[in-house]
Amino acid sequence: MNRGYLMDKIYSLSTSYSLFKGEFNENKYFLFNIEDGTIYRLNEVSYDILSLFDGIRNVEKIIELFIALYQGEQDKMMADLKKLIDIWLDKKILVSGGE
Amino acid sequence: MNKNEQNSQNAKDEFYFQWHFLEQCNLRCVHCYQEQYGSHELPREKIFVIAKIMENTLRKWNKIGRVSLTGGEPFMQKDLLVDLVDYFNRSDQFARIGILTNGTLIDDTIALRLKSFNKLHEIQVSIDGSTADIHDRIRGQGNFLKAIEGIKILKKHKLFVSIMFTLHKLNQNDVLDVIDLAEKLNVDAITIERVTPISTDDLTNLYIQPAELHRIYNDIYMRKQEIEQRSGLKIRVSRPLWTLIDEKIGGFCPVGFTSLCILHDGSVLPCRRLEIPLGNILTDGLYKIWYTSDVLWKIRNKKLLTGKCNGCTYLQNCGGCRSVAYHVNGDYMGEDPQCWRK
Repeated sequence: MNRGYLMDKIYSLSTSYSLFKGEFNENKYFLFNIEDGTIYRLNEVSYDILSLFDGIRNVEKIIELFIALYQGEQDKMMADLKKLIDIWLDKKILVSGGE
Repeated sequence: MNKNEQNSQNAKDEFYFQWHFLEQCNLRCVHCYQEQYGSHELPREKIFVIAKIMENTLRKWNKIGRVSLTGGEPFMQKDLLVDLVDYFNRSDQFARIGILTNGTLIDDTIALRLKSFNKLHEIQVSIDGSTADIHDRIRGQGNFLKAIEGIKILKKHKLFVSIMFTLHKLNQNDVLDVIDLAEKLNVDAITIERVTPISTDDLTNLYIQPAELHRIYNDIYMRKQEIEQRSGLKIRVSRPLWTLIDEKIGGFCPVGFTSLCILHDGSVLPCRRLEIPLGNILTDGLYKIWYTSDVLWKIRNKKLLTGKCNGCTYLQNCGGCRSVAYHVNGDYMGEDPQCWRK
């Protein structure tokens, strides 16, 4: 499902989730659902993107930062990122929040 | 998969809860970690909510649980104790149940009730000396005989009995006699655990210096080798520092990896002797505590250990005791101050 959103929309990580970065059992990046206990193993890119959703930056800014960080083909990166954000919104990993 | 690999795999699939579901106790031991004894237990329905949370969490993690029920003194509420044993006995998520007790309130009636639970794998009785003179100095007059009687009753009913001997300056010269007593009583296992000095008084009166601890551990190890050849008594040496005596024994503390401690009010600690509250199981749940505690994440990262523990050759099978490090030097990631390695 392609949820419509505005580039100036602000999102943050839901309080039901917690991001973790560190050495543990050879994995480094995790997303924990602290309500139902589900553990998501992330890659570095997903971790970095999710970390940017701080409830202050809007989507446009986050995309700019991401493209600058990973320097790839802009149109493809933007499309991939938008898909990820849609998924995270659907799963309520990201929620509306902040100004 | 060989036996060691199987044991290691089994350990990874297991999770241990030490649940101090009561604060009430009939004794006032010199070295007790509790400061109060008067709080009533939670309402019964909340106690079983805690049990349910433990069960659901293990189900989510696909782990099999071991639980030790203790207090205070768990036999002060016998009906509640039996109901909790029954709960875990019926649970598919729990494989083994233990009870940790001072042994003074055990009679034939309760022993018979407990015998019916097939998952009740061990009742651990605290013994602090081989004679009433030594034990009662720590646990109060008359309690040695009561504890010994409790052990005999449990053994009569063919329950698995272990002794917990808390080692400190007041009883250090008695440890070998306590091992002999354990053999004479035909108990199944004995664990010798060094005391965690939680106050300055404890540090002065109970704490054993490293060189002396080394000598004592050597003596215990020699007696272990002798006894285990002739009797069924197991002398447990799976804790930190033992690997310095023999590389084939010892163990890295499971705190932060496969165990948690829950107190009578639902507070959660990394372990009973590491008194850093992590949250409350009733208000926070276990996922939030387990996944977001900075304390637990630090403990899980062996590279963050400092002092002698950092980069130690024996790290994989030792790692020192975090609670002794915390209470002696104020740093739960510091070196184990009782390590005698130079």
